[in-house]
Amino acid sequence: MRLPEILRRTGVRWGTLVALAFTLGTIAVFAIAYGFGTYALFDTIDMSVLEQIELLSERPPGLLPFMITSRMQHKPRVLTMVSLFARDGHRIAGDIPSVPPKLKLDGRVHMLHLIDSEDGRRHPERVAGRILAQGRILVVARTIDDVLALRASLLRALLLALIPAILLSIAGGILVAVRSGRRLSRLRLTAERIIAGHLDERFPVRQPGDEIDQLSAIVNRILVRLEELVVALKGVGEDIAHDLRTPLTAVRARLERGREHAGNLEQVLPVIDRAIAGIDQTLLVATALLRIAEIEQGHRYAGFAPFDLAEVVRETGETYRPLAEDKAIALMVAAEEAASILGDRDLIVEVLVNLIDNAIKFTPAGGRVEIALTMTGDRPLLRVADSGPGVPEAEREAAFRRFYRSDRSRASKGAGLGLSLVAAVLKLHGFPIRLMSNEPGCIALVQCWREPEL
Amino acid sequence: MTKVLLIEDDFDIATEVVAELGRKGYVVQQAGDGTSGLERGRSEHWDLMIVDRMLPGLDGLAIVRQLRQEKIRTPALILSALGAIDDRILGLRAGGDDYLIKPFALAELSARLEVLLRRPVDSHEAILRVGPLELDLIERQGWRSRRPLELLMREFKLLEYLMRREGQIVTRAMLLEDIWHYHFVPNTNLVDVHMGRLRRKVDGDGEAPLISNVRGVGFILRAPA
Repeated sequence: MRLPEILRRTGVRWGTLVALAFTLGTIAVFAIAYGFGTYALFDTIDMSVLEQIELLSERPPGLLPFMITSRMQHKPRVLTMVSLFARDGHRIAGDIPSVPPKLKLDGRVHMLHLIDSEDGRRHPERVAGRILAQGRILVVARTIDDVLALRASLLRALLLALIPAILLSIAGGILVAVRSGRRLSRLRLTAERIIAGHLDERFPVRQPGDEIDQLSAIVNRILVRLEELVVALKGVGEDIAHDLRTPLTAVRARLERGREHAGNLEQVLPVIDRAIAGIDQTLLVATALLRIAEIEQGHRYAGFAPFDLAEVVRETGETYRPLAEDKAIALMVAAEEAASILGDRDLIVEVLVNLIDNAIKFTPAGGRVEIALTMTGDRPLLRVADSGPGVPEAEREAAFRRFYRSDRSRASKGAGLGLSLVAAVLKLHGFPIRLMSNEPGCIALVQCWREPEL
Repeated sequence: MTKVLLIEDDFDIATEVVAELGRKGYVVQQAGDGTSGLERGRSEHWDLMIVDRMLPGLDGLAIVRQLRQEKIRTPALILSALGAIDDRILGLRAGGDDYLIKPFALAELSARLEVLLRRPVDSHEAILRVGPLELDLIERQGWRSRRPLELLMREFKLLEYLMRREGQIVTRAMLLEDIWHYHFVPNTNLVDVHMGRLRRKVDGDGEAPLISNVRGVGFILRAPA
């Protein structure tokens, strides 16, 4: 069953529920009051009937007819009627004309409809009868017309009282609906402002709060994180703009000058070559950035498989041996023990290439580069050490950031993104990296994990 | 006469590629969207196809996949601005024979087309011969005119690669991909250093050079005339 749209709104639903609950509660309270009230009234009447019959039966038998008759002289007329009958049903004294035929003479109170001697109509009465000595019969009856009238007016009063109670409940419901509706629409407005780009907006949180406040607090924390990321992204965007614009500006200037000043084709050719090299450099930066973004997005677990890190270290080391030899750098590669790790082999190769590449690049001729894979416990530890100028302690943290290029490397070729890529890949694998001093030089330590055993 | 179908929607790139390949003696025809590209690919005979990855109408990968399903085996080179590793794998899995990431050098493109046109025959011969060069794949030993070559493992693989593609330009990117299995470009001139070592071993003093450097593109191994 589909609810009408208005009823599906949380605020209205809560309001309706509140109104309904209040109304039902009031009705229940009134019903209980009414029930107990009428019960108490009947109880009182029955008590008085029993009391009378007790009282009269204890009177001396000779005095009884007189007492009953004198009772009848009292005016205004009392509501209780009493009669004394002889054994044969003949009335001796009193105002009940005859023994009610349906009455059990057991001394208990019964409900009967008796004909009133005055108006000749049947009235509901509480009646008790009892056989006395010599077979005489004593009957006491009490009309309940007044009680019924009282009960009816009590009901009327309760029903009348119910109207303001229900109206109050509805008013309360509307209040709840409006309040929670207003709160929700405030949340909605905030959300819309955030969507519109106001990332500094926060959802209101009350202290102490309910579930909505707790949720709001969590969303606020998400917003803080998002804001940080956006700011970081903006920084990266500016870095990118800088690192792409700079070489492009140089290319543009070169081409412009070439066009203005070159006298012949021979003079233009080197200009074009340098322009192409400049554009290639720009593209290299763009490609590296895209790769880092791709890796940082962390969707590359598909390439994860167990492989022997030692073999990769040996192979990459050998690839770089000729480069080291050309620069008269002693390259040591020590990775004897097999070290199976779970990872993306291609990416780990790229990490090694970057680390070794850097080490060789920054080590002066005649220096040393050591690559070692050792086991600490059963965890493979990769160590790439060089005897170059090293990274000052203050810069070690920043070295992994995009476009970080220390003064020592600013003059050298490269996108300045090598270590950022290393950091991204290692983060994806959960392998921490640390830079240390080799006095002199730099040591990069990568703590790997063994392939988890299944 | 080599017929090449170029399926590329970018006018500037298409113009340059058509001009460059035309200069090299290819007959190039261009389709500007995926649907007509697929239609032309299946209705005529082509020696080669160059298919852009992102096309209006029909995606480049879908074209290649469809043609392969129809048993049309025309060698296909996929061009793409998507450079992620997975994209490359997807391209090859769809039935592409090579995958070139934009931007590319025209020289790189024509070198790869040459390779695709003259697929190295997977000869089961145990000894490769090019001019005075001999390479024993079982004994892992090379000779130049009976002079044994002291080749390291990697150099051996490089020489084998060059000999199988005799007379063709082999680019640095091709070597990085096929010999080292690197799908990235290292900062250093890794390939040149290794090729330099191989050249010094193959082309001794006073011998006619067999391996030569093609400026800005790569390397070529040629038997002396």
